[in-house]
Amino acid sequence: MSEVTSSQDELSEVDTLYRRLSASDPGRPGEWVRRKVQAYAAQQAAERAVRDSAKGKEAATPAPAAAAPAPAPKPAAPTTPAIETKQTSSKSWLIPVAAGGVIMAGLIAYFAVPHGTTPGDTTAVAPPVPAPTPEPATSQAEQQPAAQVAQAPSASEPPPSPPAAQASEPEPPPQATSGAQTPPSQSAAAADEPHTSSPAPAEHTQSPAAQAPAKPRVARQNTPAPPNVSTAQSSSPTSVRPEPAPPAPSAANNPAPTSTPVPSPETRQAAVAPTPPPPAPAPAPTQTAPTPAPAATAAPISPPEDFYRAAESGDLAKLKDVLETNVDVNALDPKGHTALILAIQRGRTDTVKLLLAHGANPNQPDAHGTSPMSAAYARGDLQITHALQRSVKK
Amino acid sequence: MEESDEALVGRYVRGDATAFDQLYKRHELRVWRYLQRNVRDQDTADELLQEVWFALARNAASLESTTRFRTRLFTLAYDRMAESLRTRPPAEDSQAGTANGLAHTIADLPREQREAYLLQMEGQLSVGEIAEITESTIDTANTRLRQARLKLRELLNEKS
Repeated sequence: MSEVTSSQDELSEVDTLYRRLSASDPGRPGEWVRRKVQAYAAQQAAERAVRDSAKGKEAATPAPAAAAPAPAPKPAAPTTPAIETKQTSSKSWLIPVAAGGVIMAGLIAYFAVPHGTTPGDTTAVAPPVPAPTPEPATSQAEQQPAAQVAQAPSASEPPPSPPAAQASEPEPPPQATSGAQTPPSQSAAAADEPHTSSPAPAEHTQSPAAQAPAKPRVARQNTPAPPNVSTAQSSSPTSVRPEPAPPAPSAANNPAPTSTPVPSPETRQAAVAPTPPPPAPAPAPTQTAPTPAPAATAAPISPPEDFYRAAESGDLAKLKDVLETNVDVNALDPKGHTALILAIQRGRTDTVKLLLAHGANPNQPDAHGTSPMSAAYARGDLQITHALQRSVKK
Repeated sequence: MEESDEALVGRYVRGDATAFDQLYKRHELRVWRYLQRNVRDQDTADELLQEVWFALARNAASLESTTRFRTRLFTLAYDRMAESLRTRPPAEDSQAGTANGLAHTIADLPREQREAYLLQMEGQLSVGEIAEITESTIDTANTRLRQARLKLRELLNEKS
């Protein structure tokens, strides 16, 4: 008994000695770790806040959207709604998801009610507005962003003129009624109005939904199919902004979960492929740059060593040369690195974008378990991080 | 009175980034020592430390109302360390320069004993938690801890 206790004491002395020696050990983690962790934590907190607010507002939007056709009070003050829409559309850049819903509700209510009511009962709405409107109409048009003026205001300009003129015009009523009666057309409206705001909301309404189940360890790279990209492009003749311009905030949880990210760039290729097969059309300005090389029939070959060095050094010309030769962009170099991660670690933003555009997998870790996203975070490079997030979303 | 880890996590999840800073400062050194004395390399320990805290920041929402924060923290550290050792075996003598050679002595322990002992000393975890993290039984964890102490006493006596 006493032997046991004495040996216990001796063993606890070991612990005491360990603590004493440990306390005098001068070893400390690098200061850079603290800085990076703090920066990353702050970024995560901010992104989470945006996500949460988006979710909250998204949950709130269905009610106004559904109720949008009903409330008639708005048309009573025709000038203010225009200003409201402008304000909200500018807000939508800041809080895309939430504001997108609000804008749509506002637009639907604004466009729907006047046109929808004019044919039937002109008594309530028509009298107050008739004569003075022409000049405010122009001022409204000036206030609207160019793209919006092209579509929405064009429909809203006619109303100022006497109701008779409205009735003669065939266009406004159908547009208004379609927008008003069918709430589901929100998505279509989102794809159409978008010039200024909708590309963002359209993506957001998807992405938060995809992110909602956010379970940390489970890799959720289920990249939402990009239908809205194609629809937005095809259905936007007046669109000034061809790029979907994905918003920064939403992709928060894309960062590869600790260990296993494995999405497939092929899905992305397949989604984009149907439209234009040619790999690099010369005139195409910026549109959807990330049109990867067409799914070649021949198996891609391993890139030469120069390819990785070019990725490191940011030699775009060399990279483009190699990329035209049907190489496997995601292949590992002899040291187990991908070209994408090498470029990220050197902070080569343009190179990263080029590689992503040619099908580099933003979720593929290298042989050391480093994912592109973690490499970007480790470097603290927001531009690259956003480029990756955008690519992941696609 | 000091705010609990779990309360700080809650604050961070609700958007207070300073809460995370407090958590980090509170546990930084112990986690780093745990990592560094296992992988025996300062740079690798730094990298792993960063990865652990990045993962915590990313998954903070899931930390709420689960296990104790410290258990989760050292579970992550253990996982990352084990993964690192799989791909990069520890450097042989990179501890030689440390002031009191403690890390060097610890490094002489068999790996499983060292992991268990460091989880207890640096992580201040219970035997049950150590068993859970190392995916062993409580008896096994107890045995490893005891053997680790015996071996350490022997090593420290030799050196003194």
